Amino acid sequence: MTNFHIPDDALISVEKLQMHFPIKKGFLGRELGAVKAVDDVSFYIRKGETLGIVGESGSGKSTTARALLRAYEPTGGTIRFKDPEGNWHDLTHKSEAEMRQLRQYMQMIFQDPYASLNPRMTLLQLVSEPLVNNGITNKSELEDRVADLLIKVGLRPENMTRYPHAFSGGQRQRIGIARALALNPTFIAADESVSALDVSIAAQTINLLQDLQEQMGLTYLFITHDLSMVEHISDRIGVMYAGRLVEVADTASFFEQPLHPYSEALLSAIPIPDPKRARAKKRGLVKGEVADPANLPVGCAFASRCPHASELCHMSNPELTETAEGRFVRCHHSADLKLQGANYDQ
Amino acid sequence: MQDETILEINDLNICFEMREGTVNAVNGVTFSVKPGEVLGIVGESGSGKSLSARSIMNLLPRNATVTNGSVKFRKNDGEVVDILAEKRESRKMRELRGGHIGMIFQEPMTALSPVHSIGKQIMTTLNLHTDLSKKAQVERAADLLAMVQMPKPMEMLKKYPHQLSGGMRQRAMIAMALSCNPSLLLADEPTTALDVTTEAQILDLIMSLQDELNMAVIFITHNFGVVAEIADRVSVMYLGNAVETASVDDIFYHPKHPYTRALLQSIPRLDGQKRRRLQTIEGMVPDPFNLPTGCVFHTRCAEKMAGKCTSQIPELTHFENDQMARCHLHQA
Amino acid sequence: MSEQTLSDPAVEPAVEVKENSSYTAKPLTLMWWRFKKHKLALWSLGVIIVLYLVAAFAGFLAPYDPFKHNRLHPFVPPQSIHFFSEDGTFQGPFVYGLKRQRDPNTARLSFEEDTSKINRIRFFVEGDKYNFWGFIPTKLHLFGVEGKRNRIYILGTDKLGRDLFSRLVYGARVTLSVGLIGVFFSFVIGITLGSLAGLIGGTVDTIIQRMAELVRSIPTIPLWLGLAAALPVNWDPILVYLLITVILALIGWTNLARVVRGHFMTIRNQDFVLAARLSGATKTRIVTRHMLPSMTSYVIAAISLAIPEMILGETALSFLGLGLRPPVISWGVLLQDAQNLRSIALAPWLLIPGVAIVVTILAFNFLGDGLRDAADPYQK
Ligand SMILES: Nc1ncnc2c1ncn2[C@@H]1O[C@H](COP(=O)(O)OP(=O)(O)O)[C@@H](O)[C@H]1O
Ligand SMILES: Nc1ncnc2c1ncn2[C@@H]1O[C@H](COP(=O)(O)OP(=O)(O)O)[C@@H](O)[C@H]1O
Ligand code: SF4
Ligand SMILES: [Mg+2]
Ligand SMILES: [Mg+2]
Repeated sequence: MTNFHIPDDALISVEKLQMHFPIKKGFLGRELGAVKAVDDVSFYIRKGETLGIVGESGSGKSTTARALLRAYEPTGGTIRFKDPEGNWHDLTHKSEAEMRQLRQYMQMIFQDPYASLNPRMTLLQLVSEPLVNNGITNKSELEDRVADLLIKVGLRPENMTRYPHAFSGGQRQRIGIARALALNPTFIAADESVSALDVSIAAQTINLLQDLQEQMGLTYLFITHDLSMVEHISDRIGVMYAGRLVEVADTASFFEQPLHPYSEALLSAIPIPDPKRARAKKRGLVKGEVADPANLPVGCAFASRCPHASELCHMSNPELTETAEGRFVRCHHSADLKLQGANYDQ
Repeated sequence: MQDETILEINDLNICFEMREGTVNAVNGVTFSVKPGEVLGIVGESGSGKSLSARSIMNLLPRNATVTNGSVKFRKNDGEVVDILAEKRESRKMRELRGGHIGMIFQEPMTALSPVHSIGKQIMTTLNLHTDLSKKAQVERAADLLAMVQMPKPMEMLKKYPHQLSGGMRQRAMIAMALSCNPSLLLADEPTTALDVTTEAQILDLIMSLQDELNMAVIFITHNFGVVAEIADRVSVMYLGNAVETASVDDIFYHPKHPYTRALLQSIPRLDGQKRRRLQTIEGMVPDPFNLPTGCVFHTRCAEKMAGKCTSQIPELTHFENDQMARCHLHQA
Repeated sequence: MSEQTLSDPAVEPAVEVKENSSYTAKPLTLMWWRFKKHKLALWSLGVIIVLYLVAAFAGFLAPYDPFKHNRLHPFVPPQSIHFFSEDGTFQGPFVYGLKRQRDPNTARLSFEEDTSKINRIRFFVEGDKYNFWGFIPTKLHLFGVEGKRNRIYILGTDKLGRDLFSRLVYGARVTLSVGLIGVFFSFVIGITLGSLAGLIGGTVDTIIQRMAELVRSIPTIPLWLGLAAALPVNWDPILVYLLITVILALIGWTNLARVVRGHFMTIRNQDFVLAARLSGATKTRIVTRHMLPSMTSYVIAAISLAIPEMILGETALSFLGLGLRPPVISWGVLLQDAQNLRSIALAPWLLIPGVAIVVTILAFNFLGDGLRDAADPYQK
C-alpha cells in the first residue's frame, strides 16, 4: 500500500492524502477545475514527537491539518490514527458520529486567537464545551475541571465568568489550548498558533506547549511559516510546496543538509537574528513567485523557480521517495545536488 | 541640528485623548538618521513605531496631539525643515512627501489606488514633483519598474493593483516611493504580510536600491531577523519609548537595556541547540491608558532596582559608538 | 502539579488588569451599553414606546368615538388650548366655543373661536362608550370638555365632523400593528429561507437567492397593486387587514433573508464553529448554541429597519385605496381625505396623519441605525 515503512511507534500515518476543492463558476455552478490544495501527501508522526510543517502561505498546511482531523472530507488517500488502546482507525471511512468519538484524542489549536473563540461565550462555557459534548453536565464538576485546565495553561480560574474580549491575544491563545486539552487528547495540531503573537508572548506560548508535551506525552503537528520556530520545537520537519510535501527529515539533518532545492531556498530566505551570520549569508537564491495550486504545471511544481531544473523536471512530477531511513524528498536530482543548509558555526 | 544627520527626532511625545482616558502613545522618542544609513526600528505591536514614522511625514491621525518634541529634516540643498511646525497640507510638506521622503507600508493596497493603473499612479507622482514631459514620464515610470525588478515593465505600467501578487504590489509601491529620488525612505513593516521567500526578495531589493541610490532608510519591523539583515543602526521601542538605540552589532552583541536583552533571549534562533527553553519576558505589555510610573519597563524587568526604577524616569545614557539606552542600571 | 505550573515563568503574572464590568457582561447587555451612547436612537426608542402606548390605550386617550359624525361641525380647524381668558384671568386649560359662519360669497362654512364661551378641559371624564382592550365596556376618557353639547377638537375635524385626534389615535392601532405583524411574518419567512440557504448551500441556496432577487426586482408599487387588487371588496376588514400584512411580508422577507444568509455564510467558515465541531458538538448544537446566538443582534437591527418599510407599505396601499378601506381607520386611510388639493387648501390639518407617519418612520430608522451600530458589541 505504501512505498515506505511506517515505524511501530507511529501515532498517525497519512498516505497519499488529497484534498481538491472544486472551482465553480456561474449560475449553475459549472466545475471549471480544482484547487489542488493538498495533493499526494504522505507522512507519519511518532507518538510523543513534534512534526513541524513549514511552507509558504497557500502551500496547503492548514488544509492538511484540517483534513487530518476530518474537518474537511479528503478527496483521496487514507489517514490512520492509533487510539490510546493501540487500535488503528482508518479515519477516511468514519462517519461524523464516529469521528466525534475519536476527536477526544485529536484536537486543534488555531492561528487566530480572536476568530477561534466564540465571543458570546464565557471562559467557562468555552473551555467546558468539549466536556459538555462528551456528557459531563454536573455544574460543579465542570467548574472544577475547567479551573484545573486554566491553571494548567497559566490562566487564573477566578476569571472564568469573563468573555473573551476581556483577554489579550496571548491569553486567548491559552484559552484555546485549555479547550484543546479538556478531553486529554493524545494528538494536537497547532496551526500557526503563535504566528499572530508578539515575540515575548509567542515565547511564553511555545514554552507552555513544550511543557504540556512533556507532562502529558502529547504528539504535535506544528504548522508554521517561521523556520526558526520550527527548528526550535520540532523533532522532524516536513516542507510543503504547492500542496505537496517536498521533503521530510529530522530537524538536525534538515538544517545541516537539505535535500530539496526549495528547502535550500527557504533556508536562505529566513532572516537570521544575528548580524554577522546575516552578512555572510548567500543571497538571491529564490526567484519568481509561489506556484498557484489552482493551476499547477505538469512537472515539478518548483521547476520554474528551481536553479537545478532540467528538461525532465518540466516533464514529469517526481515522487516522494525515501533516500535514507526517515528522509524523504520529492526531487529528480536530489541525489546529485549538494545543497547548502543553515550554517550554525559562522 | 547636527551637521551629519538628515533626520532628527527629538523628545517626541504624542498622545490621544480618548473617552476612556489619555493614551500616551509616544513618550520622548529621540533618534537621528545619517544620509545613506539604514535605521531599523523594532518593537512589539503598539509600541509606537508607526506613529513615529507618520510624524516624519506629518501625517499623524487627526485625533493625535503632539505634546512635545520636534522632527527636523535636512533637504539636499541644506535647508532644514521643522516638520511638525509645518501645516499638514502646506506646500512645503507636499514637496517633502514624495519629493524628498518616500514611504512604503505593510499593505500596499492602502497606498495604491484600485482604479488607476500602476503607470498612471507613478506618473501622477512624477507630475507633482518634476517637470518631465509626458513621454519622459512614461520612460521614467518604466525605468522605475525595471529598477524594482518587475518583469516586462512596459506591460506592467498598464496593470491595475488587483492584477498583481502581493510581492509585485509591494514592488510597485517601492517604485512609486522612489520615483523622485527621495533621500529618505520610510518603510513601515513592508514585508510583514509577505511570505519568507518573497520577503527575502523584497529585502534584497531594498538593500540593493539603498546602496545604489545612497538614500537613508527607516525600516520598521517586529522581526529581529529582518533587522539583523537590513539595518546599520537599530532603535528598540517599548511602550512609546525608544529604550535603546545603537549599531546593529551593539544591539545584538552588547545590548545595554534589559528589554533588548530579554527580547533577544526570547526569540528562537537557528543555533542547532535542541529544545533550549526560551527565556521569556514576564507578564504582558501594560495597558497604554495607565503607563507604569518610573521606567515603563519596570513591571516586567528582571533587573529592576526597587525604589529607583519604580519611581524615577531614567535619562538617556550615552555610551561609546553612539549607543544610547534609557535605563537606571547605567546611571552613576 | 498545579503548584509547579503556577511558579513557572510562563504563567500569567498576578498583575491585575484594570477591572472592567464589561468583561463579564452578557452580549446583549454590551449591545445595550453601546446603544445607549447613541442619543438619537435612544430618543427614538422613547418616541416609539410612546406611540405604541398610545395605540394600546387608544379608546381611553381619544375623547370621542372615531366613527361618530357630527353634521354641525365639518372641517373644524384645530382648536388651541388656552389658560387665560381675554381679560387675563387664569382659567385652567380650556378651549373657546365654536362660532359658525358662512361666507356670504362662497357660501362656505367656517368656524371661529367664540371668545365669550369658555369650555374648560376636564380629565377622566365620561363620554362615548367603548370597549377597553376589546372587552371591558367603559365610558372613561382621559380628557373632554364641560357641557354635553360642547366639543374639543385639538386636531380639528374632517368633512363629516369626525374628531381627527380620535381617528388618529385609533388609526395608530392598525398602522403600528401592521408593522409588527408584517415583520413577524416576513421574519418567519426570511429566517427560514435565509438559514436554509446559508446552512444547506448549493442548489437550495441558489434557488432561494434567485427567488429573492426576483421578488426584489419587481417594482413594489405595481406588485402591491396587483396583489391588493385581487382582494375582493366585500371581504371582512379584519381578513383584508391580515391579507395586507401577508402581502407586505411576502415582499419584505428578502432583506431579512439576505442578512441571515450572509451571516450564516460568514459564521459557517469561522474558526470558532470548527472549534465547536472538533470538540464534539452536534450539528444542532452548533447551529443553536454557536451560530444563531451570534446573529441575534444583527437580526434585531434588521427587524427594526424592516418595520418602517411595512408601515410605509400599508400607508401607501391604503392611501391609494387598495389596502384597507373605510370604515377601518389607519393612517393611510386617514390620508385618503387629503388626496386632493382642494381639501388640503381648505383643511390643511388633514395632513396631520402624514406628520405622524413621518415621525414614526424616522424614529424606527434612527432606532434601527442605533441598533445596527450597537449590534456587534465586539467591534473594537
Ligand atoms: N475551503 C476551501 N475552498 C477552496 N479553496 C481552499 C479552501 N481552503 C483552502 N483553499 C485553497 O487551498 C490552498 C491551500 O490553502 P491552505 O491549506 O490554507 O494553505 P496554508 O495553510 O499553507 O497557507 C490555497 O490556495 C487556498 O486558497
Ligand atoms: N488613531 C488612534 N487613536 C487612538 N490611539 C491610537 C491611534 N493610533 C495609534 N494609537 C495608539 O498608539 C499606540 C502606538 O500605535 P502604533 O504606532 O501604531 O504602534 P506600532 O506601529 O508600534 O504597532 C497604540 O497603543 C495605539 O493604541
Ligand atoms: S525536481 Fe527538478 S525542478 Fe523540482 S526541485 Fe528537483 S531539481 Fe528542482
Ligand atoms: Mg494556514
Ligand atoms: Mg504599526
